[in-house]
Amino acid sequence: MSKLASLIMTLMAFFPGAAFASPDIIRQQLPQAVPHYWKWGTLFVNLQVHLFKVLFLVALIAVLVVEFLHFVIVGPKKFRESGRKIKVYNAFMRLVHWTAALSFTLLVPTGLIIVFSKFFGGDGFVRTMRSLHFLGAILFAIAVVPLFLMWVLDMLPEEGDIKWILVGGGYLTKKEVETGAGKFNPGQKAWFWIATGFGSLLLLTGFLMYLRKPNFIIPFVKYQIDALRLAAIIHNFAAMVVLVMFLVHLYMSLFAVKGSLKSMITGYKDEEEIRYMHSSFYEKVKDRFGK
Amino acid sequence: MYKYSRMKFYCDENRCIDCHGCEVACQVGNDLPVDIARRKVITVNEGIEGKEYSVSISCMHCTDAPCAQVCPVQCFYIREDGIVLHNKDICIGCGYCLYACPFGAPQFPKDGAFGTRGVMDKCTMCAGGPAPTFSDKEKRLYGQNRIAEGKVPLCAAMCSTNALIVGDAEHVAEIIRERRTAHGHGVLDETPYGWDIAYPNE
Repeated sequence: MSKLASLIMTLMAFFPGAAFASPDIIRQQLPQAVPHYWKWGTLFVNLQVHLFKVLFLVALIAVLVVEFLHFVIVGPKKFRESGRKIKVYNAFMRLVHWTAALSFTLLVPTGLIIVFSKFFGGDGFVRTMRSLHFLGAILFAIAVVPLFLMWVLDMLPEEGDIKWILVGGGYLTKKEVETGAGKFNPGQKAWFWIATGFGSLLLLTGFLMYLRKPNFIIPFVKYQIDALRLAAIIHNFAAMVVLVMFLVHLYMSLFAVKGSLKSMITGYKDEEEIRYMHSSFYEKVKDRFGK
Repeated sequence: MYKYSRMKFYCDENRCIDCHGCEVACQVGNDLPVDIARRKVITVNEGIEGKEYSVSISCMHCTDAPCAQVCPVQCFYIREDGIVLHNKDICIGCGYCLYACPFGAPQFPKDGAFGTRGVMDKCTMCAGGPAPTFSDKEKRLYGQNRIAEGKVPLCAAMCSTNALIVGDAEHVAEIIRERRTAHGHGVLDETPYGWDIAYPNE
């Protein structure tokens, strides 16, 4: 019976209106939770006061500076167009990718605005950004499962990945080098695993914070308020990693490799680009060109 | 540490009879929505004979209030008499003050699109807020400003057993000392519930 009750409570938590009728577990647990404040409560306060903002700023500036230096020193990769193309992304993949892309474009800037909300003055503007952050989360929740399933097999490590790492992905020189990568290079793979893995973590912790009074049992955590504190800590750290990788991905697709944006729009990649940037994938598909 | 008086709440667990009168007084007197309770009576060691007692808790108006420290918009301000207040016009309702608070004091009425958190609401020790004193805006957003009227906060004013007292720290401590001595418990041997967390350095 108690199992059934907790199941109903869990289901109720998914409907915002239910939190109103259900008991406030955070307050009920207060007599036990107050003496344990020194654990997660103090940790959260210290991290939020001393670390989060600084780390976000350092990460943001560092990535932008590295990207700028790369653009100036090495410059963008540009491949001779052979005119022979093959389809690498079908319509479904592109739809899912752009849904996820839209969600990240909403989530990352609004998230940064929330972190630096003092700079933006708070008030209605930041409150609207919080709503948009929530909207982006819904979009990402829709996109993350198909995104994971459609590419997970291509994203597993391969032999060619080692060569790609050794030659620095071919991004450190203007010359055209064969990188040895398969359909996706290790950089893309890292971004895939971070976007889906850390993304799901962000989704989960963000949902917990959205609920504000989680009325269901959370594993490993004794008090609900500690679950919220932990969620906020994890959310911040995971967001930093995703922020860095998102900006790198953005730079790569928009500036560093010419034509990559076009390939995600049309679905076709040129032979020349695949030959160098995805050379072991090229071995498999080279018969398909020119038909 | 403080040149002037320093306001503190104290709830005497030997006197609190778990009547929830302070909760009702606060809620009705400040026109709060139903799902908001700035003050809450909790029972510790419930069901254990001899050890069970109730205390009324709310915002404890901590020194170095952690909520004020973590607020990403810095909407908190601490008055000279130690009362911790916040500006609802700036607050973005992120919920960080709730995670930082040892006492679960910050509350968030649902508001706006998607049923997300509205701006934070908490005990003001009946001292209003940053809006002009006695203005309609102050009353609507923060509740009564009884401190400015020279009155005791609603909860302590109505407490029938005088369990909940509020005032200058020195006077509050004096009352506790007198009560303990009168009951033969000796001088205060342990700090009242939550005080070691709310006022660590005093």
